[in-house]
Amino acid sequence: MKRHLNWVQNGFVSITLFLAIICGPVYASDIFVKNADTEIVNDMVLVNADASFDFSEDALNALHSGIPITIELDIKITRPRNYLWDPKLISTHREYSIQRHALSEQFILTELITSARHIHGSLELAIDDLGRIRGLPLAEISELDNQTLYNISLRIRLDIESLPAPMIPLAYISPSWHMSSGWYRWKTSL
Amino acid sequence: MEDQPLKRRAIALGSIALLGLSLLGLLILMSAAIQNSAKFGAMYSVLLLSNSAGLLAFIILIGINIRRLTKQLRSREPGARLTLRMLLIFVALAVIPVIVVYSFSLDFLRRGIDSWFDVRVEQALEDSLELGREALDLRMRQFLVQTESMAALLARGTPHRTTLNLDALRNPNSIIAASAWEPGPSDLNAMRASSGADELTLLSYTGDLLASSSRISDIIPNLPPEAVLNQVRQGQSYIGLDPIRNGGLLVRVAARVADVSGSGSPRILHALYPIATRMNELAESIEFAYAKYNEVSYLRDKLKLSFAMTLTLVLMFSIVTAVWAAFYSARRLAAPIRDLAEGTAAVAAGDYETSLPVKSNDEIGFLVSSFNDMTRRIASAREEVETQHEYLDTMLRQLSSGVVALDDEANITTINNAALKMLEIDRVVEPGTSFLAICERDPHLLPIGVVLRPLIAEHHQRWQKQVTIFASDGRRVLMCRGTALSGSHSAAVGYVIVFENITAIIQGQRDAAWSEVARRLAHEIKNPLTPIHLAAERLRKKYLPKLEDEQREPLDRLTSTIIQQVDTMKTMVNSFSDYAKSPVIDKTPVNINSLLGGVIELFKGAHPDANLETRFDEYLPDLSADAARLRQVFNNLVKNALEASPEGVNAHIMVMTSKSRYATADHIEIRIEDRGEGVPEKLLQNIFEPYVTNKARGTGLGLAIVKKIVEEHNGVVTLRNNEGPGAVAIIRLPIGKEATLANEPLQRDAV
Repeated sequence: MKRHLNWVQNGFVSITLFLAIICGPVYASDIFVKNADTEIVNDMVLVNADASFDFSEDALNALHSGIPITIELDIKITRPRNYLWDPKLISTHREYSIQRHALSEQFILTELITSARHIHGSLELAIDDLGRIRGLPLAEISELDNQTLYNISLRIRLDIESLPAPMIPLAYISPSWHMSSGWYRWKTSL
Repeated sequence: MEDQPLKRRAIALGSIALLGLSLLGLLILMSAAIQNSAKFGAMYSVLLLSNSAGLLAFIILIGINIRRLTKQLRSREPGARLTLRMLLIFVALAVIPVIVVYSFSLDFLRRGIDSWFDVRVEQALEDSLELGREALDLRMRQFLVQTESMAALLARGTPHRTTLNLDALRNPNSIIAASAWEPGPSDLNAMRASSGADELTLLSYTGDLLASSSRISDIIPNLPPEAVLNQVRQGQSYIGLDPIRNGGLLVRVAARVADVSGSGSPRILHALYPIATRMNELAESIEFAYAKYNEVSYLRDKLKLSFAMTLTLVLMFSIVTAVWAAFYSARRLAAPIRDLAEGTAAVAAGDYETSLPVKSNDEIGFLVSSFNDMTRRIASAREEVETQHEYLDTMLRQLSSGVVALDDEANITTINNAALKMLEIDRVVEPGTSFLAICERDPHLLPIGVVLRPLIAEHHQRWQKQVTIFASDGRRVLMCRGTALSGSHSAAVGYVIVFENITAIIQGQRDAAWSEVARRLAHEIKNPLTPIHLAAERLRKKYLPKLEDEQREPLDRLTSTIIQQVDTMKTMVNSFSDYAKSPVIDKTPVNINSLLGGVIELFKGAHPDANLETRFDEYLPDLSADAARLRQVFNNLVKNALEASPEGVNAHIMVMTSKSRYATADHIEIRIEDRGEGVPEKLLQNIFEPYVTNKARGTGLGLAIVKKIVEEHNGVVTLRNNEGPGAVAIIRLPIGKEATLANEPLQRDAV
């Protein structure tokens, strides 16, 4: 009986620790989405958002040492319904990279899909630029129904997988690398 | 059918080998991922997880094996301990060197990574970067001066204001058209061409594009960031290096174009200058080397950790594969030995048909085939023993003598039918039952138990005893011959007891002996008595009348004495002859009560003062017996009782009859009790032997004749002293079958 109880206790402690490790980073919010909204320009739904980043010391050290850091931006449109989960209609994914250029002592912010580059004289300027999202195309209005109130969710997070391989294992277990805004949600209709 | 397990084993082995190879491949890829992030970096997490999962699979496999081995050890399965021992040896042989190599490798790894970094190299890289910057700085200052000159020129001229039109910008030709203002020193194209800039852009103070000229006609003007514009607005020209997409560098310069005429707001001239190709290459090389060194320097500890992690994974992979291989090898090696152990256990348990498969041609295979030979021989020997046992069993069954084999604790191992019949053991006797317990349980076998117990306790090697039991057909004299069976250390491992019913033989021998004695007595004693008797009479006849009175009296007395004593001797010899004779018994149904009643009445007449009491069982069945001889028995016993009793009214004789079951048979019990002095203890043993008596007168044959007649009727007679005064004679006569049936007519009719 005593042995059985020990097993139960051990199991409980293990599960709690596991959940703490798994869930802890998910709720870390070192990236804050201050505001986000949509506008329609030329039949396109565009997203504007402002976010601030509070990079950890480890991340700042890495950036100053020339390690590129990749930030992911996910936006999705879902149609609300009263049962099960909301179906996802449209989603978009963007990746941005910040890297220091040693010779020029500049910080390069690159939009990885379009390869658009923004050169900044300081890291702060580059981070500010990163947090200023303007006119990000999300959908064409033809894809949406003007009678429906849609849920739009936006999330910004640091992509650990894009770090150099030796950093990945530690980054996964270190809270300083788990940066995510969580889902920022708002409703909109056409 | 045998192919199935082989096939299954091959599949299992193949799967595990595949898993091992996959893990090895994944480890190699992981190592490559750490060394070259660009190539395999994206797969690193997947590789790490896959390796961990693979290792976990191996660990689970080992866990299952350990659990199985623990179970086998707990249940003491054959071969389990051997497997454990071999496993420990294999694991120690494999793991210890691997751990030694691991610890050295880890140390080398740390030292190796540390050796990549050198203060001098770091300083050299810093210096080269500084040098590069200095070299570029000189050039950049030239570009700044040049741009500020162009800005001054522009400030003096009045180019047409051109609003930024995106449609026009999309069409490069229109840009040129837009920037084609009136020729002169303020012409941007000319300025750009003369300055060597890649791009010249004139912007309003708010950042709107006023005019642009580009060497590469098909691009959108590269507008300066807001921070650059702000710096210029604050009155400071901006100069900086811009890394461009293909790895080269551009010099970005922004200068204020003052509003000299005062007609409008100041403007900003933005210029992009290319760096010389060679310088670009060198700068790029420095940048790459510096960035790489910086990155590796930053990742120094993490690299160590990652390599150590990979090495640990390799170590764990080696250990788990070694442990699993140790399990597999130990089990494979122990399998034939386990089979042998199981086979030996089976043989020990009596399964001599065990045959083990010979799987190999090595020494173990030879051992297995030797074992198979051995079991075959044991089986054939066992068959032979069984045949002999059956033969012995048959022989024992056919024997008229009873044979009982006992182990060293007197438990029955074998008993033949003759013994069961002879000892009248009517229940099933299981091997292992204590023979002495049977003797104690069955009253009729008590005498055998009494004889056997001391003989077995004292471990007598060979003995012979005569035991009398009272069986269903009456008294039975058994000759018991016992022999101790000796084991390898000459200790008794059991006994064989042979019983022979010698009742008839003894009776015959005794009859013959007494007949011979009687014949001799008749011949040697009785024959001379007649001439003596005749001679004495003749003496009386011839000399008595002739003698004087005083002489006649002694002659008369003496001859009378001779004649009287000769008559007495004749009577004695006659009665002895009667005793010795074996008359043909004339059996008729006799009612014992009537017979006894007649005898008692006779004695009552002769001894009116004596108290002769009778207690007869009125339901006594008739007995098939010789009435005349039984009457003699009762006469003798009642006579003896009266003789032993005090004279007159104090003589109290009790005669009782009853039917009871003694031992295995129904019988009639007759008890004749007196209240005399009893029999001296020393005579009790032999009181029924001829000429044993405590009386002053008498032939000494009375009780001997009683015993003889009772035994002729297969009965038993005993004499013992009462607890009070006197003695009791007990006669037990078996009731024959016919007698029983005769008294149960209703039952017979019913049948």
